[in-house]
Amino acid sequence: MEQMEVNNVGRKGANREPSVWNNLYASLAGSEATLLDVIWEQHRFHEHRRWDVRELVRSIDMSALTAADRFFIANAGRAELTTKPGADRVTRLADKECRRWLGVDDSLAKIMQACGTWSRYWNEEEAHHETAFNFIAAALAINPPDDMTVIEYRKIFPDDDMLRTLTLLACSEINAAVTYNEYAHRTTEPGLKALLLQVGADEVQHMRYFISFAKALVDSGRYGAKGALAIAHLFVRPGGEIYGATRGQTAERTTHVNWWDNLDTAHGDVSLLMGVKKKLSMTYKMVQQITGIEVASPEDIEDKWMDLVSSEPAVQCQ
Amino acid sequence: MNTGCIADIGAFVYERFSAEVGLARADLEGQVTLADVVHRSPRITNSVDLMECFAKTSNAVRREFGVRVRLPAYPVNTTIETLVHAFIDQVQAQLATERAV
Repeated sequence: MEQMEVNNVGRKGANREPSVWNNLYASLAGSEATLLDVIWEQHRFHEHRRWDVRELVRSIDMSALTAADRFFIANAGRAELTTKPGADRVTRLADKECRRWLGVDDSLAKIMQACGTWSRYWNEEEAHHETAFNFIAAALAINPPDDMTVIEYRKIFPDDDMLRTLTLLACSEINAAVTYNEYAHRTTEPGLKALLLQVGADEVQHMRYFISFAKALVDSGRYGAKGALAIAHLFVRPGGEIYGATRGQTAERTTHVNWWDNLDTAHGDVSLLMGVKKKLSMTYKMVQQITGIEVASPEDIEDKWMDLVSSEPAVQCQ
Repeated sequence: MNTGCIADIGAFVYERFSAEVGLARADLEGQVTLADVVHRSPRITNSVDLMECFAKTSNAVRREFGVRVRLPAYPVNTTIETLVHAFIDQVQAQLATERAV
């Protein structure tokens, strides 16, 4: 049992496994917890899950990697480059939103601050992923990103509504987690399998955090469920974002890089089409956890989103 | 309820969509693309906002013609004209099915 007491003052929850805080709005609005309690739990959780990139990379038999393994590693390394600008954006946006809500809804301001604070752990954990895959890519000369590519992929995402931002990030983590897990079960190299399972597990925890913050925004009553459903629809509709680079045509953007659009299309059956059913089912669950709305298909998400859109007044025609 | 001739549907969709995005109908015709609309609209900042404008247009079509239009993802270089035709095709197909029943 972990006992942490300083001057006989024990921290809340110090004797249980660290976890993602689920009912954040209720806890902060109801004065059941302070920001320091939330931040301490974030830190316990982060330390509890720490791993060493060098150890896992050393355990891989590089000579045993197949062409499909090398394809996956090269693409994963480039994709993970975009997580730093994603985290940098959340840090900045969360603080801006915290200041915006201060004095208007202090509980919501605290949620924003909790999210911005957590983003430092997200940034660090994603650094593990990026450096692991790109180290291998460079060591084996499997098309590692050159300096200009690194700079290109670090473009910081433009701002959007906070609920839409958090939901989009949860969707991105779903896409990543399932893709890593699917390939982990295909590769036969045990060291690579272990690395992929670790990275996939990290992505699942990130997804849980984004869901927790997004749910807190909806629970506050200041953010409507419509924003979360819009993003879910964006991802799971026919030709949606979960299909990424496997689509015939993807958007060319100058402002930022969406990793799922910038992968090599496929190597045999290794592509973003792996685990689509699982990605969809996790998205349905995400919608329910954030909004309380049950959905069971892309059409369901679209219908419920459009119903919420229709409840707003239409713009008058000139 | 509107019985849905092509000219009526097209005009209705253009009218509603132009109101939602805050651009004149003339600014949506020809080779104007989704990307152009995002860039020029005073009401849209990104593709999610654009998607919502289409949703509001679709809801208006449902109220006017009694059919629900579903739009898949389109590349950003798709013209508005192409999307309006997609609306027309779906409305006509559903109305024809209802009449046949």
